[in-house]
Amino acid sequence: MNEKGIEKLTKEYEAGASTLNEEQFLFDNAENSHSISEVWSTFVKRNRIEAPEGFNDKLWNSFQRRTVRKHRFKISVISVAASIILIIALSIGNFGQKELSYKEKEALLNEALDMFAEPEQEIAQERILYEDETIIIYASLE
Amino acid sequence: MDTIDFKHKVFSLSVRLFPMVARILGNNANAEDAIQEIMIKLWEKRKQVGQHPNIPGLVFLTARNYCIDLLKKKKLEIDDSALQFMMSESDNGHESLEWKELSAIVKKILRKLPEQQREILIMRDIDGYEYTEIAAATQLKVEHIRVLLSRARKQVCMELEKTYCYE
Repeated sequence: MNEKGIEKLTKEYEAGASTLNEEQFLFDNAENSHSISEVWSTFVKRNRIEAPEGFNDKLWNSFQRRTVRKHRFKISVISVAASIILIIALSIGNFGQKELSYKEKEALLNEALDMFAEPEQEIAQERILYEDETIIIYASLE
Repeated sequence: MDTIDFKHKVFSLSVRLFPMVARILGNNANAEDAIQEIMIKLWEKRKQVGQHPNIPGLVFLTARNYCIDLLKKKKLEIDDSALQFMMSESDNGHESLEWKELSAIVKKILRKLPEQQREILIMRDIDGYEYTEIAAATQLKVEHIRVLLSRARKQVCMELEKTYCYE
């Protein structure tokens, strides 16, 4: 690039109207062209910070590990909370169950006793033929 | 916004964020951790991020605000954050001494600039950001940024000329 071109670029640079590529060109050629301060250009070049190689990939892997771990932790917390709620709900349900009244209990007991009624009747229908201290002899009515 | 979208539209900007974050925090390792935290914050708000009209702008603004908050928490001097430079060591002792002197002169000139001008000059000339990226991070209009940048560049050139003419 000739001197006129560099002069034009320098004016654009000072006006804040140059592109990044044009600015880079000026910094790279500051020594020879005296277009912008050599000191400033050296300072700029020495202080540039660039991301390490493979930065994005490395960060992405680490990011994914962290987000998956967070997701798993969330699921665990939700599961534990759901289990606790279920246990509490079941216990409340059991405690709240109505206790039976005496009449209901009696009715249930009678129902149970009715189940044993037949064998007793069968025994009652048998006649005793002989009975002493050691032996009882029954005779069936049938 | 799903994982693939997030990776392409948001996470891919990590490399672009690096110079600014590393400079503000003054350390490359801190910058890596900070960018990861910024990305996790954005991931947690991915629904809102996906609907934002200017995703790169939002990412730059979030990153800058996160770094400033971090400095506030650590009670570091925020005004000087823009001047946190990685001093590159030279093999040559003489050159190193010369470099230290040069660096000190430029830093002194930069400190004299108004804060906004200084930050914009550093973001453009040292970090190499586009005007739109600077606008997003600073929440200023591109035209305003050009004006501030022009003033800062002229001031720096003038001060350097003055310093080196006297020497």
